[in-house]
Parts: sequence; structure tokens; C-alpha cells
Amino acid sequence: MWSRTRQTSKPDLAAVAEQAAESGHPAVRLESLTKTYGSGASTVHALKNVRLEVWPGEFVVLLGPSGSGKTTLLNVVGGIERPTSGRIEVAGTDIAALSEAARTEYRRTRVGFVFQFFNLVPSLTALENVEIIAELTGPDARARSRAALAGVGLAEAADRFPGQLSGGQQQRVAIARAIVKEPALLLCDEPTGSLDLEVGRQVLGVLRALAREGHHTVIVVTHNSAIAAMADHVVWLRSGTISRQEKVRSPVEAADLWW
Amino acid sequence: MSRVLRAKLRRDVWRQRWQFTAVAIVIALGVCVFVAAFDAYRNLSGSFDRAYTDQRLPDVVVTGPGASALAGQMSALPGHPAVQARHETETGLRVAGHTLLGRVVGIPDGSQPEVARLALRTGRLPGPGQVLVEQHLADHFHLRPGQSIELLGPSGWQHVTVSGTGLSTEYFWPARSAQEVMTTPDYFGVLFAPESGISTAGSTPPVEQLAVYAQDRAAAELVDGTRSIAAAHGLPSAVRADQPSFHALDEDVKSIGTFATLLPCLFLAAAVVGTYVLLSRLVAAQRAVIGTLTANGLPPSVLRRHYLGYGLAAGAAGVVPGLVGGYLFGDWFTTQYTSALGLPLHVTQLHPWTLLIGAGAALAAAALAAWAPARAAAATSPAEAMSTAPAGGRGRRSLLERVLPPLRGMRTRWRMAARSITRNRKRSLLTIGGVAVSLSLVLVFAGLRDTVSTVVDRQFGTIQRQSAEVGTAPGATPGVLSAVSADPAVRAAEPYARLDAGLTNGPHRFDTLLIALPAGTAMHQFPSADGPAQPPASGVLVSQGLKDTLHLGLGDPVTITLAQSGRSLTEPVAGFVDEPMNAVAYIRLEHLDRTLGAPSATGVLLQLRTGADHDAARQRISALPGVQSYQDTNALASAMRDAFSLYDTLVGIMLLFAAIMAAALLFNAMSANVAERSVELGTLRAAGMAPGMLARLIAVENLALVAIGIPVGLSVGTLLARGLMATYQTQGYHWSLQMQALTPVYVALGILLAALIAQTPVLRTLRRIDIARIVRERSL
Repeated sequence: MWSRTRQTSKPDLAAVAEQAAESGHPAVRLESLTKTYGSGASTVHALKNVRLEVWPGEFVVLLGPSGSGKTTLLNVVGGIERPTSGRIEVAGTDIAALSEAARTEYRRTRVGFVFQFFNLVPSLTALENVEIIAELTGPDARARSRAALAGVGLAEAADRFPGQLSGGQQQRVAIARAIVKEPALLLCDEPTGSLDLEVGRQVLGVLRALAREGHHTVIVVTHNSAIAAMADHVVWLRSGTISRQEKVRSPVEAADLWW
Repeated sequence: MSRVLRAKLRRDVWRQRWQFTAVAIVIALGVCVFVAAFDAYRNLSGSFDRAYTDQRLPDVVVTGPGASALAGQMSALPGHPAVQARHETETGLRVAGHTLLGRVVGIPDGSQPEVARLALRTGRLPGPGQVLVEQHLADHFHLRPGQSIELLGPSGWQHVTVSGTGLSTEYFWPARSAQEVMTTPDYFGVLFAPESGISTAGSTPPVEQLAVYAQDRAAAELVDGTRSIAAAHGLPSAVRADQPSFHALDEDVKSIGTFATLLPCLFLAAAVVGTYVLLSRLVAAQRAVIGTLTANGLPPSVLRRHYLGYGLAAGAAGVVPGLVGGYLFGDWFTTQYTSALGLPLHVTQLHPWTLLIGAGAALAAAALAAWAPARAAAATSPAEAMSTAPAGGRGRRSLLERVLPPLRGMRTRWRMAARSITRNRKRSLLTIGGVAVSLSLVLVFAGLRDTVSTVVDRQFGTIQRQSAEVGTAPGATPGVLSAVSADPAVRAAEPYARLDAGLTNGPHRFDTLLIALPAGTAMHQFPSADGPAQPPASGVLVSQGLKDTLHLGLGDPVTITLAQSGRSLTEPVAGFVDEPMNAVAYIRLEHLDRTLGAPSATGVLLQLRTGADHDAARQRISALPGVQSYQDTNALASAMRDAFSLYDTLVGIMLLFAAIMAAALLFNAMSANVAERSVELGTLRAAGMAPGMLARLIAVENLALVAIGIPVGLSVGTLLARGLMATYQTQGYHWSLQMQALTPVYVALGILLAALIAQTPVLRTLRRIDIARIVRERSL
């Protein structure tokens, strides 16, 4: 069972990542992961026997055409969906076997989500959008939220409502909301899908820095192959299976990307 | 509308079937209440009209010596009148050990009267030495033909045989007079006896009457002519409106007519709110689809018709069950009402116009509700086809936070809940309105019921202190008083007089009772802020109701004409008393005796000791010589409550209907609320917010709307109830709303409970929310 103890202090992610790497345990390990929808003739195999290891502090990009299973893989790893079969080990625990309440706890304490359409609460300010999640995970919610906003360069926009922010700013608020609880795993679904090149680079830069300096494990789903150049690890999905994956020796900076 | 759009309409309805059903239910309730109340109104009117026609309820009754001699003149009046001369007298009546006041009405020997015919239930018309017993009395004492009862005649108690039982239109509501509308069969009963024996039926000389009925129903002309002739001979005449039973029932049926108009309006207004919320949410959710259709050249008029069709479909879905339910409910109500009165027949007809109006009103309400969303759909820009931003509204701090800055320190999730109330202001306002309407509906009926209960308690608990009233034969009061005072169960006894009297102030006249009580009476508490606490040494105390009716001021002289003796006296108004159920005048007994120059007492008021056996005391005292009637105060109060017991049923039904309406409206508002915010709610769930926490947040938002609606509903309901009570001012009665302190609390709790129940399915949906689908498809 996943621990239901709330975080009361900021974990040392660097130490955790280092410890995990030294112990030989990946941050995420997928074994024979299968996910199907429907039944009988209308069965859709979203994921088929997927095997994958993601190491702590890695910046992983999942690439693939529409319907290849990228978002499903992200949702399964994030504990939003249950796999049909297989194991999802996160820090040694099989997420697939957790109860609904334990999965909620897992999402609360270990995972941060960033969605394509930001999904901010329009009646809350930028700070409050972050704070509402911070309150779930420990004390000093306001201070941690301000720090998270500052971390994505939005300290000045803390009291603005989403309707008063640009798309890039909204996405950075969404990132701040995801990282305020210091999740070990940051899962991003098309985080630049609604953004132009310049703003997209800024957002990716923030995510890259979180992996590199914050030691978050970041998994980004995208159909934009240009983003693969900045990843430590690139995974190509096709028809629910991993068709190819490679480690990148010298990833480029987000500012150097072009699409 | 194209086949494809029709299919879309069908599927939209199916996708939102529960919300659609909620709207259809509210519409059905509106139609049901309209049809039921209007049908009941028309059925009851029809039932009474039929009975009044079949049994020839008199259009005018002329009373007094020589009235029967006017029969020839009356017969020549327009309206093809039927006339019937008769006598009536009041005397003591003993049935099964009970002594009560009996009214004996003369009818032709062995045949039906020409006017005021009787509907025989058992037996036959009376012959010599026989009486026909009015049905209410017969039912109460289980009297059957052949049984014997006693009447107090000139030479003492005499046995008469019951020939049968039956109903008279003049006693459908067995009132003794306009001032004694509420009686009990223990106190007052009516008998019909052959005219030939009427002079020996009672202890006092009978009163002569002439009853006139327009056979071709040209009643207005006949009434005018009859009254002119009666007035020319110095005789008083009473038209149907003065007839106590007719008047009481007419007022009651009219109040049903008022409800038949008011209630459906409230329900259909609620249906408009529910349909509007449902449809505006649908249009908002489908704006991208609508934009795509308009971008592809679909005319706005087609879109408008399409969404109007949705509203009309909800209306149509509610109409059929509403019509059927309304017809059955109306039939049930009519049957209950007429059964309670023991009416000889009741009319329950299908009224096609009521059904048509009900159906038309429901469809019109649905179309009205759909109009604005349909127009919004037709006006949707094709650019909406490109829109991907979720509906959300602009953010701002809530009014509470702005007014009370410390609230900004609340946890963020509660701030979100507070702000969500004003995110869709129109919907919030409509939901609050729906809650207020539901609550006010219940409160109106609960207020009416409370008023009756409070008034009865006040009249028979605080104002009238006697345990019983004992009516005595003329001149028998002193002897009865001595005997009653000596009874071991009696704590106190006083003489009193209860006299039929006409009060006149200039052109204003009112027939009522003159009650004479001795100085220092312990039997009556005069509720007056500015008047004396006892009957004044001289002058009269007049009820507040009569103050307005007779345009009286303090010190004004008022002329009192006693019906029995014809004597008149003029007394100044010494004060006004606020009695809810007695539009009478009070005078000191000693003063009245002095003024009349003779003892005027007509009976004894008594208080029984605590713990005394009331029934045994009644039996002992009833058997005393000279006792004509014994009216137990508790029995009268119970009869009053029973008479209004239909209100309890109506309160229950309305509470049920209003609770359903409130639940349906809240369910739709909540469904729309959750559906519109599915993405942000799904995101919070994805971020690890537990479903219970999310459910609590949504529940708080909705209960906040209910909490705002409750005081609004309480205020509106109280005003409505006050307005309805203000219309209930008749025959000098003056009632105001007397709501019990806890009633609004109970009503509010009832609505709150309905709101809580309404949340259950939506909160369950929230718990089963498919986060993956929401973040993938961005909609529920």
C-alpha cells in the first residue's frame, strides 16, 4: 500500500534520485503493460506489452502519432487509469495494484500533471490555483506556492486571474501547480500544444530545468518530434507498442529548439 | 427540422435524460396542480350548483310575523318563483343522553316543500309525531328510522320518532347562524317536522318564514322584488349570500379557485427556471458544434427551432402525466370534500378546456424557457467552431471576501467554492429563485394551517375560559345556575345571555350576537390593548371586525335590536376587543337586565375542576330540569380543527410537491454546474484531491445557494400567506397570519433535506468521474 503520510517538508529529490540511481532502481518501471478499451469486436488495444524504464531525474519525451497510446501511457503511469494487465513500478511500488484511495494519495504526493489546455480554475488567481494543490500536501501552502510561481518566472502575476494571463503564462501557472508539491514524477501531456514557438521554448526550458536542477523525473508526451532533441531519453510509440527508444548523449537547450 | 437534427434532438434528450426528466416532472407538477385545483373548483361549484338547483336552495328568505301572507305577492314576481311558507323554532333536544340545541324546521305534512327540498338518505318524510333528522346529526348519533328522541315542548320533554334522515341545502354546512358558523352535533342539530305540529315542537313560539326560489333562475329580479315587498312590510329578508351554509361553502370554494390560479403559476415558473438551466447548459456545451453548423451554412432559424424543440419536448413530456395526475387528484379532492360534507351528489366531470389550458400553459412555459437559449444558439458565431477554451467565466473575488477581507485567509478550496456561486450569476439567481418559490409554497399552506390552529387555541384557550356553555329554557337560568354550581365537578359557574341581535350605526347594519356577562366574569378574557378587561358598567365592547364593518369609533352610539323580542337599546362603544373568531358585541349582564327591565340570562357558563370527568359532568348537567343544550368547549375546538383538517393534507401534498420541485431544480443546476466545470474538477482529481473533498466543495456551493434562497422564500412565503389571509375577511371575522415560531424552521429544514437528497446523484457522478476521459475529451 502506498504511504498515506503527507509530506511535511520538502524532500531532497536530488538525494532521492541519486540514491535510486545508485541502488539500481528506476523511477518508473513498466513491465508487460497492456491497456485495452471496450470488448469483443470493438476492443481497442491502446497499449500492448509495453516495457520501459525511466531513471530518476531523466527528461523523457514520448513521441508518436495520434492514437499511438502516448496519453494512455501517461495516464496509466500517473494513476489516472488502471492498466488491463502488467506492472507499473514507481519507487518499487506497483501502482496497478493500488486501491482507488491509494492511487489518489499517490497522485497527491508523487505525481504532478501538466495538461495541454492548462485546466486552471478561472475563479482563482494564479497564486490560488497553485495554493489549492499546495494545501493538499503540507503546511506553508502560500509560501510554497509563491516560491513555485517564482520558479516559473511568474512572481509578479500571482494575483492575476487566468483570464488576465497569456497562454504561456497560464501554462507556467499549471507547471507551478504541478511542482508545488515537489512530485518525484512530472507528467506533461502536450504542454506546448497550445503555445507558439517562443512561449513553447520558455515552458520547455522550465521543465528541463526542473529535471536537471530539481531532480524531478519529467515525462513529456508530444507529437512534436523537434522536442526530442532536448530529452535525455526518447521513446517512440506506434499502435500501442514501443517501436524505438534511445538515450540522448548531448541534449540541446530548449532555447535552441525550432519547429 | 431535418431528420438528422431530429435524431440529434432525441439523442440529446437521452444523454441528459435525468435532467430532462427533472424538468418534465416540474412541468407535470404544474399541470397537475392546475388541473386538480381548477377541476376541483369547477367540480365543487358544479356539485353545489346541481344540489342547490335540485333541492331549490331559497334565493330569499323573509322572516317575521306575516311573512307567509306575502306568498301571493311573491308568486307574481318575475323568475317564475316557487314559494314556501314555513315555521321554525329552537328548543332543547335530547339524543342518546346528550342535551343539545335543536332547530325544528316545518315542512308540508307528508310531502316535500316547494322550496328547500330535502334529499332523503334513509326512511321517509315525517308524519304526525315524527321528525326527519338532518344527516350530520343523524350520523353523529347513529340515528335510524324508528328510533326515539326527545324535544322540549311547551309542556316539557316529549318523545318523537325518527321517520328518516336527509340533507338540506340550507345545512350542508350545519351552521346555526352567520355568527355561529362552527357548531358541533353535540351542541346543535336540525330536525324537520310537519308544519301541523310545529307549534308544539318547541318551548318558544315558532318564527314565521317565507322561502322564495326562482325556478327559471332569473334570481336577481326576484331577489330585488322580494326584498322590496318584505321591506315594505317591515320584514327582514336574507338572500343566499346571507345564508350561513351557502356563504361558508361559497367562500371555501372560492379560495380553492384562488389556489387554482396561484399554485400553477408558481410551479410553471419553476418549470421555466429548470428548462432554462438545462437548455442554456446544452447550448453552452454545444457551442463548437453550433458554430460548425453555422459555419457550414445552417440557417439560424433552423437552429432556433431545433433548441426550441428541446424545450417543447420537455413540456410535452410533462403534460401527459400532469393531465392524468391532475384529473385523478382533482377527483380525489372533490370526493374527499363532498364526502366530508356528506353532499348528496358530487360532480366529477372531465373538463376539456381545463386540460387544454393546462397543456397549453405547460408548452408555453417550456417554449418561454427555451426561447433565450434557442436565440443564443441561433446567434452563435461560426468562429465558435474554432473555440477550445472551456466555459468558465472571468475570475473575481467573491462579494464576501471583498466585504470581509479576513475571509481571504480561508483555505483556497473554500474560496473557490464561495466564488463559484457567482460564476454563473443568472443560473445561481434562478436556482435561488426556484428554492424560494418551493419554500414559499409550503410556507403559505403551513401558515394557513398554523393560523387556524393558533386562532382556535387562542379563542378557546385564552379568550373563552369556560369548560362548557349550558343553554337554558326561558326563565330557568337561576335554577340551573344553582344546580350547576352545586355539582361536585364544577369549580365556577356564571349566568350569561346569548342573544341574536342586529347592530346598527347609521346606514351600517350587522346581524350578530349580543353576549352579556356578569361583572367580574371569570369566564372570558377580553383581549384588548386599550379596552377594559371586564364588561363595562355601561356601553358595549365591540369586536375589531365589527369596528370596520360598522365604521365605529370609541364612544359612538350603536343601536342594538334584539331579534327575539324586537327590543332596541342604544349604547356607546366602550372599547374594541380583538377576538379572531367572534364578531360579536359584549355587554354587562346586570346592565342589560336593568335596561330591559327583566332578567335576560339565557344560560350558564361553567368551569370544571381539574381532573373532572367531562363526560360524566355533561351527562349530569344535561339531565337537569330547564337545560336545553350543553356545549363542551373542547368538542367545539376539536370540530373547528377537524373542519380545517383538509389543510393538513394539503400542506403534506404541497410539501411533497415543493420538495420534488426544489430537488429537481437543484439537481439540474448542480448537474449543469458540475458538467461545465468537469475539466477543472477532473484536474483537481488528477492532482490528488480526494473525491470526498471535491464532493464536499460542490455540496457547499449548492447548499450556499439553498441557504440564500431560504430567507428569500421565507419572506415571500410570509407575504403571500399574509396576502391570502387578508382576503379571508368576511362576516366581521378578522384574521391575520399567525405562524408558529418553529414552522419556518421546519419548512426550511424540509427544503434543505430535499436539497441534500437532490445532491446525491450528482455527487455520485462526481465520485465516478472519469479523469482520463475528461482530460482527453475535455467534457463530461
